[in-house]
Amino acid sequence: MTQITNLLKRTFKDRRTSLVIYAAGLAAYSVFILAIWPSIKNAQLQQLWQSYPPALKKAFGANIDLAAFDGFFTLEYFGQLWPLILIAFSVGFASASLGGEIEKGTMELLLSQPVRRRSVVLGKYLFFLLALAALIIATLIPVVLGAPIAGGRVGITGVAALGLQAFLFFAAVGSYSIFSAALFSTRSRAIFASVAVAIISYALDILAKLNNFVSNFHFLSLFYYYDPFRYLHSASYAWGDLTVLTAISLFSLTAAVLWFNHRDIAC
Amino acid sequence: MPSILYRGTNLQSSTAENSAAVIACRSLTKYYGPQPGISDLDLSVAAGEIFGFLGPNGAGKTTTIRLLMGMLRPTSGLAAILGYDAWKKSTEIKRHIGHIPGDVRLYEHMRVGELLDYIDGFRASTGRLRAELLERLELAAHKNVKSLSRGNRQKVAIVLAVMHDPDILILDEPTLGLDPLMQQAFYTILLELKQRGKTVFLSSHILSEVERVCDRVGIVKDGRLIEVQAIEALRQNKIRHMDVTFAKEVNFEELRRLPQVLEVQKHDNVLRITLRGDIDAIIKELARHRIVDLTFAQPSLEDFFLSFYGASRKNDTNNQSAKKNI
Repeated sequence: MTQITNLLKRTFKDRRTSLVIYAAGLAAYSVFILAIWPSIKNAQLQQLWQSYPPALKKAFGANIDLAAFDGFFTLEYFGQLWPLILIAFSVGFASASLGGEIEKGTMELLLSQPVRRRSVVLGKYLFFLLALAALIIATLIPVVLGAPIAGGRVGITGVAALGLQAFLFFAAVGSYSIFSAALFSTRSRAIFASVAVAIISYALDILAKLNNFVSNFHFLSLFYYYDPFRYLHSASYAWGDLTVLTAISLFSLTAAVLWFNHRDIAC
Repeated sequence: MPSILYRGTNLQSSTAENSAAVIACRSLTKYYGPQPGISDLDLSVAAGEIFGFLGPNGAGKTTTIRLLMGMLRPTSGLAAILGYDAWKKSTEIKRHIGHIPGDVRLYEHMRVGELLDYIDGFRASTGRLRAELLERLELAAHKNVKSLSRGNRQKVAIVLAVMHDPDILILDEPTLGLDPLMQQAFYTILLELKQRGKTVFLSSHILSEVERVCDRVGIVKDGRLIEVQAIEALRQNKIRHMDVTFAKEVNFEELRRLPQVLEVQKHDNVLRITLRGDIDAIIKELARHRIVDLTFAQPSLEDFFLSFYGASRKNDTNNQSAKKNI
């Protein structure tokens, strides 16, 4: 435990600046969306949304009410930009945590100490989870506090449900990225593999919404399990989806630990 | 005032421990794909011994050290430290090991003191030798790692390896980048540690370094251990060059007849004598003439390896040169 704590403290010191920048950026974008909401909430957004081609609406969420505060937030932020930023954070952090140290050669120095390889993976992963939780909270607090001021309506239970779903979804992305980082010796390869999985997953999600045949394989896409509007709007939990996300994380983390335990370092 | 490196437990007091091999390799083999890194390595290092691992670049020294440090998994065979499998019990045995990697990479964004604190956090015992080592190696803890020269980075690596007073030191080219004064300081530290019974496994491609500090030497080439010798035997076996300047021209045919003399080259009043073994007879023969100057040139690693490969390699080289000339 001392080893993990030491790694955790050091990683926090090394990452605190970038973490604060990420958190401030995410919170600022929440405030930005809140700020523009009053000026457009009375516009004929729903009619505009209905006039869009059906395929486009299907791809981005046909069930979303764009004229409602939570629908607007989902389409403008939680459904598009937010996942993009948090996927970039998850992949980038996971890849740098192991692949970066191997690539820079500092992993050899670290493993010259009486530190277990699994502690290295778990220490880095634990920090990732804490940082992820902090970023989600930094995004959602302005939404909860700012909605009444901006004249929008959002339930605290819906925000909490969205927070949990987002945490499990991005944790799954970070987990398979950690596995990818344990697999490869360079950060660039680890990032490439993780980003490729995310892009293929996203493409499959879009195609599955447009094509009946491909929809049979929709469950293979990670984005199939990410539905921010459902959680934010009605606070209804899809426990099966959350279980799948948790299973992906646990499986990926276990695979990362096992692989990292048995691989050669610095060859 | 005696150095604090002299204080503490003296491992040599335990004769039982001395008799056991602290480091042992049995048929240790590591392949990188089809390429052998090290093949069928058998060696053992006793407690309190400084063992030199000598070989040219790419011979397999770093691979062996990484196997001992549990960084690489052996393809076959076994590396053991303190009787434990170096791969399976890597974490446990590292509590007793200080290590300097061949290619020292440090956390660039930290200060030296911060880095030492961080590494200290993984050990149960604090680095009680840290302050003394920093002073003796003239290293400032407040400096940024990224601003350090190659030599200063090496000093940081030395402090990191020694500050916890480990029982075993596994050092890969430890004086790389150090200036001659700091090399001396490092050798002094090593010999102090030896006096306290610490075991040292030291890889090097510098013959004089190995001769100076080691008790025994393993010679490795092309991934194979060629020879293990006590340092005295190594001194006897190695080829040396003696340059003798005479007051006037001399007849050196008598010298050629001495069994220790391998070759004599003459340039005016200067003789370059290539010899192996005891020099007593040669000195006595030379003393019959008036000598102006006498020097021993340090043999190159190439010369040294010729001692073990005989003339075959030289002949190969000569043949290749001859072919090129044709």
